[in-house]
Amino acid sequence: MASLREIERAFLNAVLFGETDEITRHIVGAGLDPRRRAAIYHHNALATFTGMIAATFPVLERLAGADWLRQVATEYMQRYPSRSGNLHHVGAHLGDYLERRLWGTQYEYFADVARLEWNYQEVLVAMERATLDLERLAAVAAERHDRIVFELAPAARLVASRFPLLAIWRANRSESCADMQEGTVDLAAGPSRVLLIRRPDHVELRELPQSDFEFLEACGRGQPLGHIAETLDSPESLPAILARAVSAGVLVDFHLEN
Amino acid sequence: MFRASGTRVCGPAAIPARAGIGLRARHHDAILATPPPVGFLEAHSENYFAEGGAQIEYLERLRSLYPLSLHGVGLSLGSADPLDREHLHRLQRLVDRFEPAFVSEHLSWGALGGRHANDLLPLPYTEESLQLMIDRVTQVQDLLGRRILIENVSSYLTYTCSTLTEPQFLTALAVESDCGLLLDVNNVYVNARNHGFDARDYLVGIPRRVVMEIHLAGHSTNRHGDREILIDTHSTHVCEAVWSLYELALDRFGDVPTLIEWDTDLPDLDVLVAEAATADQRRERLHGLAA
Repeated sequence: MASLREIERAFLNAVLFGETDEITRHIVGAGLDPRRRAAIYHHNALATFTGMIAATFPVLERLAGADWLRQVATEYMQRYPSRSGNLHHVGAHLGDYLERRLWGTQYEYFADVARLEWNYQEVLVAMERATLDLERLAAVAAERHDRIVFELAPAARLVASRFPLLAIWRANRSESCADMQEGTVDLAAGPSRVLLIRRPDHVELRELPQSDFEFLEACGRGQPLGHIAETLDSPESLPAILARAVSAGVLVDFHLEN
Repeated sequence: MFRASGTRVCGPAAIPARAGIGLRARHHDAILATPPPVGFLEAHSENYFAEGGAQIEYLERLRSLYPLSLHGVGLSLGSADPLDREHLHRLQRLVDRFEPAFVSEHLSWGALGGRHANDLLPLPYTEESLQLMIDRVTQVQDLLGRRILIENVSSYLTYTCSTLTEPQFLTALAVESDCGLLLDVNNVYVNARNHGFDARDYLVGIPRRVVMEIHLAGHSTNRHGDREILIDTHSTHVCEAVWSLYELALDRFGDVPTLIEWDTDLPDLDVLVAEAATADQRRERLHGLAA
């Protein structure tokens, strides 16, 4: 008799990949071909997975069409099957997958749209943190400012694209077709650097100047303020950049590098 | 009546004799705006595994209004692989935070080798899988420090190697691990139709004292040539045949808490509440006005 592990391995191949040959000998037919019984689970798994992808990437679905996204999600499931009992994680690699799949086509920007939407989902469920303690920051002696390492809010993300990503997202995010601005986004309009940050009742997306984006990226890499200042084109702009980051609530904590 | 705001509830006794409804994000605002007269809310545990954000805040507010049941769909208890420790710890944190009256999972598996089907796949009913389920349920109960309920799942196939019936398997699991059972009456009906057994015999095969909650839901019918297969879609009303079987279950297992599940093609909240009211009418007809 086959072990439980052997049966589960065969069944999972049928569920994920539609490979029913191995599992059928373990299934009671009872008036229906065992392959068709196993195929019910394959179809259910596809429907669940593709439904989750569609729910997670509504802008991509609007841009590419439901049929195209369903087909892509089906291929993506074979390449990146779910790695968690929590289905909410399945979209994590879709941006990378689309980048490879659409390389050199006019639809390359779909990969960045997917990355933006995935980051949006992550921001929705990220940990809440208190805002930066400005009094504590002000108490840091001036000679130690170079050693300050800022921590970004868990519910904040940065996404860069060579396409006008935020404009694409805004033009296609609405549920109402009347709000769509189809055809108004020029894909050659230049790069986009987007900050996503969760507010009490929504997720805010805003375009950042290159300097602000690079500052926050460097903070996210754990670089100290002194090092970041050296890499800026105009170090004298650092106080203003820092003020904007604090005002936006992107920085939640800091420590001094040893 | 539902519980007053701010009341903390813990333990099965906190579930009143009134049917509850499955909690879905689309209904959060409607429930908070006008809390409906249902006995409790049941949330899918994984939907609230988030570190923060609006969903978890909604659950905090709803928990202050109603007793809560946490119903897991992703632990894959019957997998030949070890349990996912991270998943378990997230569940533990959720249970500690929300103090649900019930914590439940399924008699199923869904993952192997790190790949997940995200479905409730049926187990072969053998001594090997029984011992594995006993060990896993015991492990989860030890970690959570409480009894959990295990639900029978719908299925579209059975295995040639099974040596036990599902009632025999569930009964042995409940006895050996001291878990409770969550009897899904719709799943019993679906499986009886799909596999050709008498649903009434199934109920008789389950000991009276182990059933602590009942689920009711709708299903759909797929045709495969001249063969019908019922699919547990949770997408429509409870059918009359399932209501009848529910009454038999109430007669056998007593006035246990009942929940209406509806997950796809989700209707407005009042439709779910009306379905729960129908369950209450059936309960009251059999057990009197206990609410």
